Amino acid sequence: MIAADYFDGRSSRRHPATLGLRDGTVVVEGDFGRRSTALGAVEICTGADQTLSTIRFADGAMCEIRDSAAWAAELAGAGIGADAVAHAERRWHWALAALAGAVLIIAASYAYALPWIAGLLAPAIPQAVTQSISDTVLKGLDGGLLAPSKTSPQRQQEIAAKVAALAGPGQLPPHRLLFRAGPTLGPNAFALPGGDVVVLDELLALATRDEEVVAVVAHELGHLRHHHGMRQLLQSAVVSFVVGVYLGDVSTVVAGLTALLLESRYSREFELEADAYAGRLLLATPASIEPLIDTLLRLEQAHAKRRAADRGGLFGATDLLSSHPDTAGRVNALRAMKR
Amino acid sequence: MNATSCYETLGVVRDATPEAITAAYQRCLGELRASLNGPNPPPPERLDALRAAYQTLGNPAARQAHDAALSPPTPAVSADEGERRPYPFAFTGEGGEYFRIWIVNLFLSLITFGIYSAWAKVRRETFFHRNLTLDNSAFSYHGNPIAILKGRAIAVVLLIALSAAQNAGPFAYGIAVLALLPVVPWLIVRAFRFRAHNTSYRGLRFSFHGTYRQALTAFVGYGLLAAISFGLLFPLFYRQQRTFVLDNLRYGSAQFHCTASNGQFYGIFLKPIGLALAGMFAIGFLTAAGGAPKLLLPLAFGVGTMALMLFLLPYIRVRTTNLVWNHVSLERMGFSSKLAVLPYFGLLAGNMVLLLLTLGLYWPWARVRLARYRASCMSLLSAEALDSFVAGESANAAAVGDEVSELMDIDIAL
Repeated sequence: MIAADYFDGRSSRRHPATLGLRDGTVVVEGDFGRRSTALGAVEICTGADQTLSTIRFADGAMCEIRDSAAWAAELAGAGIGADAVAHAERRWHWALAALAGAVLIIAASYAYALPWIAGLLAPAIPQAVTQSISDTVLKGLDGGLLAPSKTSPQRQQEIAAKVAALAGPGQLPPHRLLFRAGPTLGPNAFALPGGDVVVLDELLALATRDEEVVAVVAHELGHLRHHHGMRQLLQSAVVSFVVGVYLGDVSTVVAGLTALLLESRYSREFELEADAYAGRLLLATPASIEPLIDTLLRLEQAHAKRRAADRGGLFGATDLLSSHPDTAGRVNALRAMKR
Repeated sequence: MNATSCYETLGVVRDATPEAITAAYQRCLGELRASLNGPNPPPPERLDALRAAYQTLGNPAARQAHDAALSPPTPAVSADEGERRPYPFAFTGEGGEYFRIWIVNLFLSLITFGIYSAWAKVRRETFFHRNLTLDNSAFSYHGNPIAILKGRAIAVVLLIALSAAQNAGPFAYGIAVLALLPVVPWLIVRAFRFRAHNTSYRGLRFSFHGTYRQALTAFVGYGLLAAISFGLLFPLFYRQQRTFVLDNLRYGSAQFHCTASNGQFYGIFLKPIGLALAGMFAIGFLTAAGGAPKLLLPLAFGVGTMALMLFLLPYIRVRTTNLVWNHVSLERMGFSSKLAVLPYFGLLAGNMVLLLLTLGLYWPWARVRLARYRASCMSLLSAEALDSFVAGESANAAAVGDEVSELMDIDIAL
C-alpha cells in the first residue's frame, strides 16, 4: 500500500488515499470510497527521482504518488517497467551514447548523405530552371564585375572549334562559350549551371597557347558534366539553413562564416572531380595534360600576385570566386593520371 | 428557500457561465443515467432537483433571485485580502535530467528523419509540466503525439510554400503574406487552445475560449496601429496580447482575469525609452559642442544597440510579467510575481556565455535554470485551500496552430 493523492477529475479537491496493485488491478481507497480498475485501463506515468508519478483513469480522475521509487518497485513486481526511451533518459551512459550518435549522424549527413542526395537531384532539375538561374547570375555579373569582351569574334570561334574537337559530337555536355572582360576578377573562367561557360579576356592574355585555354574550358565542362553548379546550390542551401537554425540566435555573421567554411569542403571535391574529367579529355589530345598543369601553376602565381597587390581584400570577390585552393595537390592528381 | 443551493446541486461555482451550467447539467444527467442500473440507484427526487436547479440557473431573472436568496457570493474584499496566503510555485527539474531527455530524443528524432520529434515534444513538455509544482501537486501535459505530428506536417508545408514564394520574388511573397495574414489569428487561437487544453492540474484541465475576432483585433488590428503610429501605441498592442490570453483562459470552470491598465504598461516602456533618448541627446550635444572625440559617436551607437538587445528585452519581459501576474485574478485568488531585473539579466548572460563555451550543449541546463528562477518568483495567493475548483466543459483541440507558431518562432509563452 502506497500513500497517494486522489483527484476525481471533477473538482480540485485532494482526497488522501492509499494505492495498491492486486492481480492486475489498481485499487485506490480513500474517503471517496474504493475504486478498482484493470491495469490496462489506466495511463501510468512514472516520474524519475523526485518527480511525482501519476496514474490517470479514463474518466479524468487521477492519483499523484509522491514516493515514485516505491511505486516503481510495485509496478516492477507486476511486470511493468519504464519504456525503453524513459529507461535511456535516466542513464548517463545512454545519454552520452545518444550524443555521440547524434554527432555521428550529423557528420555523416554532411559528408555523405547530403552530397549523395544532391547528386541524385541535380541532374533531375529541368533545363529551364537551371537556365533561368544562369541567366539571373550572368545578368548580375554583367551589371557589375564583368564588361563586354575585347576578343575578336574570329578568335572566339577558333577557340570554340578547338573545344568542340575535344570529343566526338554529342559527347561533351551541352554548353555555350561566352567571352567577357573581368578586370577585377583577373584570369579566370567559370561555368554556370545552365551550360554557359564564361571565359575572361584576362585568361586569354595569360595563356601562351590556345591549348591552355581549351584545357581550362575542359575543366569547366567537367563542372557541367557533373552538375556541380546545382549540387553546390542545393548543398549550400541545406547547410546554411541548418547552420542558421543552430547559430541563428548567436549572430548572423558567425552563422554565415560557418556555413561558408563548411561549404568550401564541397567545392574542393568538385574541383578535383572537374580536373579528372578534363584530364580524361586532354589525355587523348596531342598536347596531353601539360597545358592544364601549366595553366594551373600560372593562375596560382597570377592570383598570388594580385592578392599581394591588394591586401585587405581578404573577403573580396577575388577570393570568393577563385575558390581553387591547394594547387599542388591538384597538379599531383593530374600527373598521376598520366602514368 | 432550498436547503442546498442550485449551484451545489449541479456542482458548479457561483459565477459559472451559462455554458458551464449546461455542461454540468448534462454531466449530472449522464451520471444519473449510468447509476440507475447500479447497485444503489439514486432517489427519484434527484432528477427533479437537477431539473429545477437547471431551470433556475438557466433563466437570468430566476438566477438573480436565487443569488439574492443565498448569502452574498464573496466576502468583503478587505477582509479577504488580509487572510490570503501565498502558495509558492516551484520547479523541481534538474539540468542533467533534462539534458538526458533532450539528447536521447534528439538522437531518436534524427534517425527517424524528424518523425519522432512529435513524441520528443511530448516528453519535453511532460518534463516541464510535471516538474512545475504548486501546493504539493504537479502540472500535467496531455498533448497527443499524432496530433502534434499532423500539426508539424501542415506547418512545414506552410513554411515551404512561404519560402518558395519568397524566392519567386517580392510580388509573390507579398501576396503570400497577405493571404496568410487572416490565417494568423486563427493559428494563434488554435495554438492557445491546444496548449491550454493539454495542460492540467489536480485532474482539472485548463481551457482557452478566445475567438478569431478577438485575436484579429488584438494581434492584427493593434499590430497595425502600433506600426502606423511609429511604435507610440506599441505598449497598447503589448497589453492587448497579454489580456487576450489571460481573459480567455480558464482553469476548470474558473476564469482568469487581468486588470493591468494601459497606463501601467506605458509606465514600463517609458523609462527605458526615455533613458535611450537622454543618452542620444547627451552624445549629440557633446558632439555638437566639439568636446567629444570623433570616435565616440559610432562607439556609443554600437554600445547602445547592444544594450538595447541585451538589456531592454529582458527588462521589459521581467517588468511586464510582474505587472500582468500581479493583476491577475482567478475567482477569489490572485497571483504574485517577483522577478527581479538584475538577477534575471545575470541568469541570461551566464546562460549565453556557457552556451557559447559548450557549443550549445549547455542549452538544457539553461532552460531549466530559467524555469527554476521563474517558478521561484511566482506564487498563488489564496485565503482558502485550492480545493474549490470544478471542471468545465471539455473540448478537443488540434495542434496545427501550436506547431506553426513554434516553427515560426512566434512567442506566445505566458
